[in-house]
Amino acid sequence: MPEQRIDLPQGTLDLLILRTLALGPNHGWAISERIHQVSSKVLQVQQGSLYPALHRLERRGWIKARWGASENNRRAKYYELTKSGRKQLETEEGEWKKLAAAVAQVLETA
Amino acid sequence: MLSDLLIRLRALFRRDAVESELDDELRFHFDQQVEKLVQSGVPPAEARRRARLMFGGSDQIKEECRDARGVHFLETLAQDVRFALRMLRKSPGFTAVAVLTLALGIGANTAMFTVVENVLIRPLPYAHPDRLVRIGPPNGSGLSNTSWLNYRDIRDLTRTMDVVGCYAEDIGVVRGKDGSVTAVTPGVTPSVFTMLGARPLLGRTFTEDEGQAGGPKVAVISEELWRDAFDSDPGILNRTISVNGQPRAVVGVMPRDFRFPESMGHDMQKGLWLPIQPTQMMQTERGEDFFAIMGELKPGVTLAQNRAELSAIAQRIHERDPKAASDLSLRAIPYQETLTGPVAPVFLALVVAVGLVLLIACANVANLLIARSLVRQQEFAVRAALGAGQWRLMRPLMVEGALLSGFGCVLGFAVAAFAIALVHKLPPDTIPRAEDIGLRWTVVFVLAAIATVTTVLSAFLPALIVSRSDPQKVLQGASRGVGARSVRRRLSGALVAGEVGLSALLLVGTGLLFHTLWNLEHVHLGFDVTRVTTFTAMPADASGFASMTVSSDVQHAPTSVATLVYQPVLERMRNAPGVQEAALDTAPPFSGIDMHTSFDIVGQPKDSAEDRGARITAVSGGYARVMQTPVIRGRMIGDDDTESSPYVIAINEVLARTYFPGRDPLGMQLDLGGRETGMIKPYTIVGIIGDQVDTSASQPPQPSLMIPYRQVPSTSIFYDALIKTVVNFVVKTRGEVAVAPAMRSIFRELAPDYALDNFQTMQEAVDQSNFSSRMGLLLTGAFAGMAVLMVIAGLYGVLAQLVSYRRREFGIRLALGATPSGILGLVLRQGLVFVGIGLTIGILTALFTGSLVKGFLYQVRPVDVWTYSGVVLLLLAVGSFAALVPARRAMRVDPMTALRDE
Repeated sequence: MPEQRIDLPQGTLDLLILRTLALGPNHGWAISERIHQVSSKVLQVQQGSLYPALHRLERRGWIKARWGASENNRRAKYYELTKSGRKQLETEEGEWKKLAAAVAQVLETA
Repeated sequence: MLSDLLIRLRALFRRDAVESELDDELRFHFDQQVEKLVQSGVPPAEARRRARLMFGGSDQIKEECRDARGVHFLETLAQDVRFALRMLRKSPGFTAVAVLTLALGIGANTAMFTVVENVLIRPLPYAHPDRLVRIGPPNGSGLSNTSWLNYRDIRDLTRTMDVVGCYAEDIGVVRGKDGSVTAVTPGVTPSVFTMLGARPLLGRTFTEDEGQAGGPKVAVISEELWRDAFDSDPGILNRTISVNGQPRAVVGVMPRDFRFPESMGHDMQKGLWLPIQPTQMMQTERGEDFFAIMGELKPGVTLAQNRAELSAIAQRIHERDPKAASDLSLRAIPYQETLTGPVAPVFLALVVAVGLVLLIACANVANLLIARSLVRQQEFAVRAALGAGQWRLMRPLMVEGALLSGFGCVLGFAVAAFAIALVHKLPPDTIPRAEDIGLRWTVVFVLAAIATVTTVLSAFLPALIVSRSDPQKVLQGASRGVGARSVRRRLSGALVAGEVGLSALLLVGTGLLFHTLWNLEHVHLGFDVTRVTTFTAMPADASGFASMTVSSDVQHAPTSVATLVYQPVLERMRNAPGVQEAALDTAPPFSGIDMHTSFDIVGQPKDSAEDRGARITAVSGGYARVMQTPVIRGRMIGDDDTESSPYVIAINEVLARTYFPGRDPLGMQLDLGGRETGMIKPYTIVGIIGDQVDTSASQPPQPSLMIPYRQVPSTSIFYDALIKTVVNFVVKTRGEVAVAPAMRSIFRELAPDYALDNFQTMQEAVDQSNFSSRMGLLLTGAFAGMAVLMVIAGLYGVLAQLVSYRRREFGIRLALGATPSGILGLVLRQGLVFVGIGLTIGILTALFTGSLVKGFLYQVRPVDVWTYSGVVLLLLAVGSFAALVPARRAMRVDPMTALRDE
């Protein structure tokens, strides 16, 4: 049950959250579940990192929050991407891809 | 960015809502987690347990969320403030002392700044105040009056000034609804009103025609005169009023805040303005110096350019009229400076003094904070060990300091308001532009600045020291306190020594001023003030000082007012009940009137290179008796010296010494101008009387001439100036009798049109002349007193801390055989070391800066032995007194208790 815990650096977590929300507004629980699923259960985001990250992103203006009803009719706080958030996502995605490609190159040749 | 701010604000102001939202959000996640586990087959209770495990510490998460929301700084600041308030409440004594100390320092500085700003810095309420200058022959650091002809020439020749005008100080009598009243009635040229941009309340100011020779008789009156003497008559314009017995049409009323010329003082508010209409004399004589010239510089012209032009003009005047204007030199001074110049050095000194007091206050508060931080050493050491950064450690202390400054500010504002109210209670004309002084917005800003400075000085430094100390050392050995020399204690000691030094400086200043006042009060006046009253009398048709005329029609000379009115009045006065002796004198000591004339000695060549000049007054018989001034040789003027007896004159010792060195003046004759002035007959010297202080106690007596009041020909210039404008009476009474009612009734009977005024005793006149010295002494003394009090508090605080810090050490010493008196001596010596260092610094500073205060002293050398020894003794005594209580506490330490305590 305890899946392999890989510690995500803070910046990467932000990127994943933004990407997840790009598909549509969601609450914290759903975001963590989704990341868990889509990463083939490799990445398990802890509440201790998720919520501070969400609040931080909200403060930066990249996501905005509102309260709504969840699937099972409970009160939940939904986050959605803002316009500047979308721009930020594009930027960070680009940088990540560049970084990943460079690292892969080094690992292959060196 | 905006969302950031909004979120922060929301977090700050709607904390509860935000907190419960956070709760809900996390609980939702928790519930979902549980549900997921339940659905995968885990029993609910077990599911909850596991979920809780996975969740971790929700408080920590909340804390991190809060951090992420960025409110942490403000929240902890609020926490610090609450904590600081609680700490301050717990030690009310300390808080009270600190706040009071700061309040006094801040309040005094704010008040001083307000006064300086309003009097020295704020421009005068005229059209172009920075371009207004006053012009005249230099006289010391100021200017003296000059003639109308010089004004005319400057006006015609100048190219650096747009407008030129002149004014002449004068007094007169106005007939109002309650009878005749004296009023100041300066003469002004119409250009003066133009220059100042003065706007009348009603009507208008003078036209150019009204300023010409022989122009219409008009006047502009002040608002207060209009209200008081004419009942705010709505038809005042073009109504005719009687000024000096002459009918004049009122063409305008000036508003209350128009006070030109300010040199006429507070009375200008109730006065009126007359147009200067050049008389024959004014247009021909360059020697009649009654006028002050004003000019408005053209825009862009500098003062230096103006001064250069004036030198050139003076040169041209000399070429035009070589005999009369041989040594004319003209100078321009910005008008505002002429008003405030004399007080500027005084204010500067006061600013310095008050600044010193603030420094001492800050030092005290800093010391107190340091002392308290000693108590909290452990707490800070623990915090530092737990990882608190330097800034985080400094915060509580700085917040405390800021709070103390804040309270001090609020209280200080009250102190400042009170001080300014006191300033308004001073006699009018003590400070120029006193009416303008009030609390304004600039004051609030300055207050804030001062408060910031005090906070930084009194809290920052101790906070810095505290946060720098090594936590390990503190945690290990703090409470043992065996003679540890920490930087803290040295700083405290240095601060106290500094306080002592600053106090020494203030005390030296006070001592010097006290000595000066003492000297001034004991100056040999040359007369006796006991039971002598003076008052002025002005005829309803007073001539005024500036409108002098000479008539050559000696045959039909009108009878002198001296004979007609003053002589019978004097007789009645001498017979009035309670009056021992009465006399007339046109200008008794401290009257403020100072007439001068030049003269020649008959039989001696007219030496024009050496102008003989003297003060001149007219007196009646009995004057020397009233004033108890000794007659050195010959006789004094008597009642038998009338217009038909030989013309005589009396001189004082200074004149005899100056102009008759080694010769006997008695029997010599003086020529007071002959036909030019209308004093055709020469006067024979019949007596020398003792010198009297005439204008102020700090000035030596001037050479003086006294002529009999009935021997001033009514056709001469001197008649108008000496007899027909204003005269003084001096009355010696038998007991403490009020003379005013009796005098008024005498005049009502014999001369109802005369206005009597300025009743005061000679003692009051003397006191008034010493007033500014007394004020200076009071202020400096007050500051010094405050400083000494603070030194006592500071010294006591430091030594008390020292003693409690070294209790254990004292206990050990006592146990090992030291005597209690030895311990007492130890603490006392420590205290006196601080005082000694401070004294040395203070005295040395005082010695170096001594020459700066020479201007305020009278017959006291800046290095005055009495003052310096007094200060040293006082501060040593104060130091010993402050050290006594802690010292006694030290010697009473019980060794057993001290050793057991930790």
